[in-house]
Amino acid sequence: MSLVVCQFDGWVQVRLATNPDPTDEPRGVSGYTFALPGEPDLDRILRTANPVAPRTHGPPIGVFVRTVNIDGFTIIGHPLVGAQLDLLGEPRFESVNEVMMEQGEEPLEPFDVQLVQGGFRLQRRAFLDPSQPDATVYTVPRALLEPRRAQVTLATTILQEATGGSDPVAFRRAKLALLQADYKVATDPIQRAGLGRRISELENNDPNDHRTVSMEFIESRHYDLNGPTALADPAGWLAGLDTFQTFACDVVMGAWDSDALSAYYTGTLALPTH
Amino acid sequence: MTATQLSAVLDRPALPPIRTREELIDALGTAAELEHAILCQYLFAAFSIERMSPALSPADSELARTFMLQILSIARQEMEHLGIVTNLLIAVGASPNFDRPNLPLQRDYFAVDLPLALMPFGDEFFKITAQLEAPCTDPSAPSPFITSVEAIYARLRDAFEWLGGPGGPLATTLFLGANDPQISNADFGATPTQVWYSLTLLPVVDLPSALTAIDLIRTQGEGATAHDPNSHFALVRSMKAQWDALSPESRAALKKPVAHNPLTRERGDVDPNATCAVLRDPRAVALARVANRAYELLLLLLARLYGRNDATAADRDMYRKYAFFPLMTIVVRPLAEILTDLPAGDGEHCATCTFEIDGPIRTFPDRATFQIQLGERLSHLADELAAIAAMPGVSPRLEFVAKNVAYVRDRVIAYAATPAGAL
Repeated sequence: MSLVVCQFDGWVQVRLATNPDPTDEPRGVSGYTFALPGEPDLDRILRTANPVAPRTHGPPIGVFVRTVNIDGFTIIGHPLVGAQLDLLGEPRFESVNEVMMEQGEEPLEPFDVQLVQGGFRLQRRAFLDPSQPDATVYTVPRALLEPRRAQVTLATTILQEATGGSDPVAFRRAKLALLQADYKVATDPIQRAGLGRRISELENNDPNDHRTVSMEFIESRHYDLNGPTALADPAGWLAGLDTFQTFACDVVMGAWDSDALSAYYTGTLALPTH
Repeated sequence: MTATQLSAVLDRPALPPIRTREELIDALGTAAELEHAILCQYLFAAFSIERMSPALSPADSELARTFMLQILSIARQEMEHLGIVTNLLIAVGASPNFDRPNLPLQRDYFAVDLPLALMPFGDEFFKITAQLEAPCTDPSAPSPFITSVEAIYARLRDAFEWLGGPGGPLATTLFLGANDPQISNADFGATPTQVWYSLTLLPVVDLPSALTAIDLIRTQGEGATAHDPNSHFALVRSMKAQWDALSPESRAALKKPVAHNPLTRERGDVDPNATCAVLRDPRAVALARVANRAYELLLLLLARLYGRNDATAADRDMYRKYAFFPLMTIVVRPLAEILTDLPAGDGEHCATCTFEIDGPIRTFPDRATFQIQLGERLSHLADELAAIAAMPGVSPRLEFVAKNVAYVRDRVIAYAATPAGAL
């Protein structure tokens, strides 16, 4: 038996309202995230691809396999390197203003992973309760929800990995300068209104403010993919994949850029094979 | 006319300085009720702003959001003031006070000569807040009335210094409740002076911390100088300047058609000379009443959070967890917003939150009986919200609120059934 471990990273988009706005606030008012003029309503969906109304000077959205290890050895040129990792089913963070869990620790539901590379496709979901596939965060027993709670730490490691810098204040200051330059030449009223909002948010650069501190939040979550496996593997890249076992997926989210509504997403997907 | 001249005209003596603990507790209780009423005024105005109409230009839409953001931010600081006054009450050995008179306030209630009424955003709102937030030229001047919020705190500051200062009659005993539970930044994982969500909740344990707390309130709000751009006075003045610069069409587009001083029924405890509007639409009346019950429940939780009682640390964590986020953010505010989608029933206005309180906010001495009643109240709320959500023409958003209240109810009941209490 061998264990194929795909390490992935990239940027995701999360267009969500933040406390103390209600979870279902569509535009953002009293939190620190907003839908700008001309943008659709906030929707709380974590997107690994096809971002909605991506903002200027934001990171490229997309998560990809960077390395593949088999039994601890890095396989140079493994065909899964470069595969796109997607989360299907419009996953949303389900804090619900702390009805479920504290913001930052809340579950992301559903968690349904897909790897795609050319004609290869692997998809499997981590059900909250495999015996009740329709269970939601509202209906599942707390004992099954608690394992979805994120471990949250405060550090600059992910920020450094994602952006090459470890100072959130400097990151925001640099972004502010870019947007101020854009504002000077912008003439479209919708664009100017949006830039004005982004600039006023970035001008709040207090190192203790949520906007800044949250760049150092590191949220770690573990999932056991336990649903039915869908596999299209014409070249046998994952020959002998053991679908009777769960697949462990560990993910870390950090470097939350509240201006771009984007975060860095990195982790591993472990695939047991016979 | 100055306060002193007013005193002479009315042949009424000026309010005496506070010279005993019971007078101090009464004055702190009044301050708490006034802060509470003022924060309701701001919340009411914020919820009357139209920010999502397609008739708004992009710039006006952003301005509407900024107005609402700033007013909610001021409201949160008024909540902070209420929290700090409650800490002061606890520190001097009193219980918390989350009662308040209904609005519009009857003239001369508490010897207050301040405009306390529910006015929608716009000219009327700016008129009353300009008076409310205006710096007082001489807050220590003798007066038969409280004519500024700053004067309240000037009087309280003098009382603390006189009673608890060196040589004062209560120099060693004023802070009887210094070790009793208060709510401060530490309860939210914030550093002692950190500003989070526009708030800094300062604990009160002795004379210096009491004076610091009072000074924070004065500096943040009504007592700030006109030169402080972050004071409530300056923020309101800045908003008014922006409002005045708008075209009549933009002003009209930024306002929901909210009536002045809405009520769910005729009341004898509000200013009889003020114009009030009783909601008539049955859905609006039902939802406004439930919203008031949700708001009352939030106050009951706060009343259990402060001061000495038999609540365990886990109980307090639960009260805090549900009061400060779900009840404020995913229940009371959405209900206030959903109400404005309903008609008032007079053919002219939309409905809105009325912020009525139907009785005193009781403090429950026993954890077991409180938790049973907490579960009962949440059950009633969840059931009534679900029933109103099923009525025609009610926003589907209400179903989401009902679902979340039901979830909180189930968690609270499960908590109460666990001997040690665990969420």
